[in-house]
Amino acid sequence: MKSKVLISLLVVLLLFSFSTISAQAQQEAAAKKPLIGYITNGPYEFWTYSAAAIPTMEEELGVDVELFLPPNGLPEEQKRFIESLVARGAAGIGISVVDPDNVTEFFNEVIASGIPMVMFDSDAPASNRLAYVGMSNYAAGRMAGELVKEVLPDGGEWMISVGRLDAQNAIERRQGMIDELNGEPYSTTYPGKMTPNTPNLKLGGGKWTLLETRTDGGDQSKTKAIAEDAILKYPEMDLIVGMWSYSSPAVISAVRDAGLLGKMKIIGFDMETELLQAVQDGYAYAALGQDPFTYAVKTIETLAKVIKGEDPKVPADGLIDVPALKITGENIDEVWGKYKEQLATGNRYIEATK
Amino acid sequence: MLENNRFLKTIKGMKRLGGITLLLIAIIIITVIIQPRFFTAYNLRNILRWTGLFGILSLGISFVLITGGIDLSMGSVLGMVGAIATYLMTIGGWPVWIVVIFIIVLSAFLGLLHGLLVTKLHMQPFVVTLCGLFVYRGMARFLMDDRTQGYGNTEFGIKFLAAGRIPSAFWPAGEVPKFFQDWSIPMPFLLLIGLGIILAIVLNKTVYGQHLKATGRNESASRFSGIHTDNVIIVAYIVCSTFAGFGGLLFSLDLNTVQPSSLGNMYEMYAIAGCVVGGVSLRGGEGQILGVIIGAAIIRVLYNAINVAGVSTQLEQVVLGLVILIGVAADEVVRMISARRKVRESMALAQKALEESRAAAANR
Amino acid sequence: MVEDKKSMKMDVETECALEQEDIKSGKRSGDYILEIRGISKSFPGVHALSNVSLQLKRGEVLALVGENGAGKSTMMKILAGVYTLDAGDILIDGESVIIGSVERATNLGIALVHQELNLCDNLTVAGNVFLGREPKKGLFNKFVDTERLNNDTAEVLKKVGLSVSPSAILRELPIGTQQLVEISKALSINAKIVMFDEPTSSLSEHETEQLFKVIRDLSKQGVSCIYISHRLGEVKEVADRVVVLRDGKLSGCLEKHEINRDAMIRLMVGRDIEKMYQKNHTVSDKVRVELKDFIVPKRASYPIDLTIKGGEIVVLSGLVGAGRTELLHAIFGIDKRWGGKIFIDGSEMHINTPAEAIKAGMVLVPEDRKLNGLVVNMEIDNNIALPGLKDHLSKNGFINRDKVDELADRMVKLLDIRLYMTSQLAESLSGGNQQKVVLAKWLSMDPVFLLLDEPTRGIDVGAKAEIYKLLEDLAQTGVAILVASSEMQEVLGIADKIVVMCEGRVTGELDPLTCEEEDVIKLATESAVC
Repeated sequence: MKSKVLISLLVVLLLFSFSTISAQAQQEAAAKKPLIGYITNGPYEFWTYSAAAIPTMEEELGVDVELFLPPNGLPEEQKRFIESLVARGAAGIGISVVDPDNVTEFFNEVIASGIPMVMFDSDAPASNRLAYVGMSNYAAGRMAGELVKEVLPDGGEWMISVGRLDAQNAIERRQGMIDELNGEPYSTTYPGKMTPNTPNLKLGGGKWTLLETRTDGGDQSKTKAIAEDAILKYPEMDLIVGMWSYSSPAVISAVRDAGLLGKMKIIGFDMETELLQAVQDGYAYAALGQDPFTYAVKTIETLAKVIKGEDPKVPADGLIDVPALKITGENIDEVWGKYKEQLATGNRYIEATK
Repeated sequence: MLENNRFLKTIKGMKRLGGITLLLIAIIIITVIIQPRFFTAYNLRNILRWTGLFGILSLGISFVLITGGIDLSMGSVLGMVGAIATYLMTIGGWPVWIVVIFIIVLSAFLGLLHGLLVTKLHMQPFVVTLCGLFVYRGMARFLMDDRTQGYGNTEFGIKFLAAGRIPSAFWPAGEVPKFFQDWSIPMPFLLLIGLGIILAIVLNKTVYGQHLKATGRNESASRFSGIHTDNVIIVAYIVCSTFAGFGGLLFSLDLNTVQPSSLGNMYEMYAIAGCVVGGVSLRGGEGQILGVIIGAAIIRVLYNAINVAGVSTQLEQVVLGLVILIGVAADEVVRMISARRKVRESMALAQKALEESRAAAANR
Repeated sequence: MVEDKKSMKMDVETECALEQEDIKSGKRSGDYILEIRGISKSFPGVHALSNVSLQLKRGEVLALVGENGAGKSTMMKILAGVYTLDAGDILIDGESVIIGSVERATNLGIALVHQELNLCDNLTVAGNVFLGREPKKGLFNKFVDTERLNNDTAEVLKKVGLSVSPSAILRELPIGTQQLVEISKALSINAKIVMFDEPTSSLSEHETEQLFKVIRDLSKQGVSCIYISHRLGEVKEVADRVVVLRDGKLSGCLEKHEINRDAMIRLMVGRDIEKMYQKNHTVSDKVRVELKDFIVPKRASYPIDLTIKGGEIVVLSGLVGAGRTELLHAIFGIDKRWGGKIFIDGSEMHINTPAEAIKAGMVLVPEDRKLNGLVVNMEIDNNIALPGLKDHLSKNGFINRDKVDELADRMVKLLDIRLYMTSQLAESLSGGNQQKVVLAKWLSMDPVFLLLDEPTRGIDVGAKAEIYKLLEDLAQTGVAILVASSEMQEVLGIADKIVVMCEGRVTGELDPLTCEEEDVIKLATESAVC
């Protein structure tokens, strides 16, 4: 009796997996249009905005776009996706590069094989890429630095919470903030230096103190624990900056539990719903919004033009600028409205694929 | 000689816990010396909450470890169930209690599946749950489309399970006195204690508990004794997955958001570490619930201590690994010493018996 | 008669004493390859050996017998370098040596053939014989010189008269051959002294014969052997001289012509066990248990029919692998039977799991005590309570500790289990007492049908007698008893009816009062003859 139940269960499981696979195979067989791979730097909600742009672009440009979200945000996962795309005869690849220093050579090989690549969000400047869509993370960091100056005009103590400090976007964002507070001359490109992660960094001649940059390795509950422990350890702390998309929701949760909502300032990168909500409620000072929707539009557009033999009209320096956006209490309603609209398209897209 | 049986056994059990309790106290004292603010109501509250959340996972897996098995899928089950629960309550708009029942049934079903595969198909627990680790993580991402699920600002009564504190939450009227504002106990810890008491009763007082321990020590002999060892093992896996699913609900409520791709990654390892520090043997058959709770507490206190004492983030895992190692090694040393003492005692007893028999022979 | 025996014992003791005198004075020491002078060894709680002296001549087969715990194993382990001694001297070739480590023992030419096979059955014969001492060659001397390995092994195998290929995988060989491989391993170090610890416990009659031949050959080649066994019949057959130990002391020596069963038992237990097997229970006419067309799983299946009357002790006899254990397991529902019916007191029982068997009033004392009989690292009281926990000792799933304690105390008294307290671990007991715990566990269920698989294997004579007495008492109360046994004395001694099995089927039924050992053996080997 028991074994019968078990066997039927296994059969159901088997059928389920087969049907999924065959459905995918059918989809693939139907695809005759040029294939563009769109590879993000991880499975983050952030990229839903990009996903939302894809169906419109597919329709307008007559291409197939496949979205890849590396499950753990690792360089080797990206490499695996690229290899499979090359094998399937993809016509172009857009990618947000996780580890630019060590994959440039590999990218150049792919490009040499005739597949154009466009980087978005995170660049690999040394490669033979067609273009980079986005803003430099360094510039976003400078922008965040400006926000710190706004929220702590008389100086103060603050900390950064981030997943890993060996990721390029984390390095650049942090450096941008430090340089901005130190009053370094403005530049949009990352100068290539890194201030070591020592506790109690005095910035702007001692006006601002960066207490610590704490990493959690991607574990959201650890982000929360770190925020809690920092609140305990530094009673004088004024501000926490959440530098990765999931950082700020966890920080907000910790601040809420500590009963410090509104008192402890929060600035976050990216636009997780949780963070936008907090900005709207006045608990978080600002969010640094990027525009992943436009990233997808520009990336796919550029690639599609090259594939069709048209002139992609890439600027001479290869940079297609998509500026970041300071989202504060003043413009939150307007910006969020726009995002919600984009996401609704995304939802439609996702429902259509099911 | 036989009357003191039970009393002696209890004492013996306590002694075993003595070592890890000392370790816990030592970590606390060292941290307090480095950072006196460790001992504030706020911090202790946080530690208790985290101990509750992670301790529940350790409790769950302890039964499986006692059978001599392992469950690597816990973290993934936690992530998947947490994401599903959040989705159903917010976007799905299901009533809270139905969601709770649904996820409990769902996770219990996963445990049943693991148990059936382990017992009826004779697959190795490591393999079954390793596959589970991949499958459930992937399912979570697939079902949620990698989108973070969050409760946002919507108020759910069930959030009390994660964020509530007692007795301050039930203060009859007026302002809660300062003392209770500070020192009310977080719900997750109370849940841990409640579930811990239930599991301890099951393990020590019920037929199932005795069968569980016997099966873990010697499955074959247990089967020969007429125990349905398969059922015993299946129940252990059901308990484990159900606790993981319930933990997923609590974590989602505590963090207010769930990232399907990352929530619960590696948590099975923390759960196992808590059990191991608490004296549960991976060889099976051995373990006490109180030890598991203390073990889970040690790991949480240690994390907190590392952060508040300002140990650099890079060294964090080094410290954690070493302390667990030292804890388990110390436990083994204590065991060896007590085993030696036992040998000495029985030696003396045998000597005495020998002399008595000689004396008796001489009298004759 | 009794007078006679006493005087004989006196003689023996005097003779041993005389020999010891000789040794002390240094006479005759050249004749001996090994001399042990007054060695003692204590463990916590026991004087395992106190002041024991013995000598081993070149090419002699010396049997070392005694009850469990008499000190035989300790003696062996001292010689093999596993234990160090507390006091005394060991002389090899007349020179005083300190053994101290297994490696040293090997260098001195002392080899030990273990009771349980200490082999890796996934390796080849040659790989086993030279395990850890493989001839090496090639780059950095890290590669196995397979050719030399196989040649050397063939050489050694010749010595024990074994004609298997050195490159055969061990697990594909019969157990008896594996045992000979173990002996080859011992010989491959050019041993001068080979010690055998219960070597025949897993061998068939035929394989045992072969082993004896090897031992005699070794002895002719000048290798001395020390042979430990519980099986006194074997000792009589193979030994040149017998040394008996009792409670860690030398109890007596028997020269070749003096060796006989009674003499050995007397020296072992210090008293007569004339009436080891007392049969005074009455067998009722009513059939209590009946098997009809019963098919044992996993074997060439012949349906088995068997009836057991109330108060009847039926003994299953046969060679190793005859299917007795499998039959018992199938009756008890551990392995699902392939067909047939079981009737108890006339009504059919549906038994597919041990739990159902227990409900039907059956209990099984399994062959492997440590694997199947007991949870050895669990307390004695919890072991005894295990089968009855669910139905008799608990309420609503909660254990009634008082009932458990009461039961444990009662059973301990009933079976005279010698222990310190009931909450001590079962593994801390001696073999005989462990077996009594297994019996206690099952008798607490008040069975109507008792199955026992080799109930007295590896336990001492005293405990054996107690267990036989217990079976007698149970039979007297009308319990149906089915025992699988390989020990011929036991088979003939306790049975009301002997059922002989061979290769999975019943080859005959015998009446112990009228049959001889040969009849049993003939039936047990019947199909081999065909």
